[in-house]
Amino acid sequence: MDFQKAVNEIIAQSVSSFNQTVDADQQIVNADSTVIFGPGSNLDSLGFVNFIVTIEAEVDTTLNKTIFIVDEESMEQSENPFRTIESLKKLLVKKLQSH
Amino acid sequence: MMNTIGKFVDLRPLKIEDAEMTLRWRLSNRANLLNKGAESVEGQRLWIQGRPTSEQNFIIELKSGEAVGMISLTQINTTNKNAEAARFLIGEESLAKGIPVAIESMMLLYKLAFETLDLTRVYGTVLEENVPMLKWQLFFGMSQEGVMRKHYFINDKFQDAIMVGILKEEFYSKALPKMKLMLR
Repeated sequence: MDFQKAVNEIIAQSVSSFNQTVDADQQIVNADSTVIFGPGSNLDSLGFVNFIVTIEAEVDTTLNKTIFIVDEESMEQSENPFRTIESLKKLLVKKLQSH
Repeated sequence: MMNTIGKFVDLRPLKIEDAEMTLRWRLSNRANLLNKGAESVEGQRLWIQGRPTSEQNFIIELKSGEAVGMISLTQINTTNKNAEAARFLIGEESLAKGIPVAIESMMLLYKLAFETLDLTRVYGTVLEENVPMLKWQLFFGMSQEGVMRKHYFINDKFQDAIMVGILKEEFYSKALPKMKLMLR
């Protein structure tokens, strides 16, 4: 299975779903460079958690797989996997490959 | 009641002088899924003044000293060792962006409940329309325990209240590890 392609589609759908639930000033852009956690992010932590939960649900719906994005394994990465859309995509691909 | 110190935010006791600021937060769109409260600064002052000893009400402050929200532990019951987490509101959204304000505030409140006060259980209710808050609470280890049907009259209609709760052991096994990871 092409996990990179699947992850790209899951993120696109998740961003779209998430943006429908928040005000315009809290919406995020589906671009690799978009910062989603930490300084420069358009999300507060409530928004960030809701975005993560949306992605987990989308993985479950699309691939019939249950993954937990925030766990000890995620934090063992050399870079913060939650910092940008791109780093989150890398984490998701890795999780799906080992699932 | 003392300040509770975190890495990104501190919780300091709510004061009467916070009436104008907290009223502004409570009247904002962000609070439209919470119970209605006072509608004037004087009313808010009286409300703050009248908080019982069974509550601990806090202002969430950034390390810069800027106030960004509020959070409370109410209905503190030292016999049954439980309390309600309530009035959780980030009033200054723009200041909170990019900072794990909500995560650390909730962690500090749980630590107050389970460590300082040695409680066994913290519970709360979430309006059925407030899906982001429900997802948040479940993500951080609360369990959905029931539904109180048509419990609130908010936004011109009766709405269900989703009952959620977390036990001390669940805080340590589920919530705290996740919170610590996200606060690194």
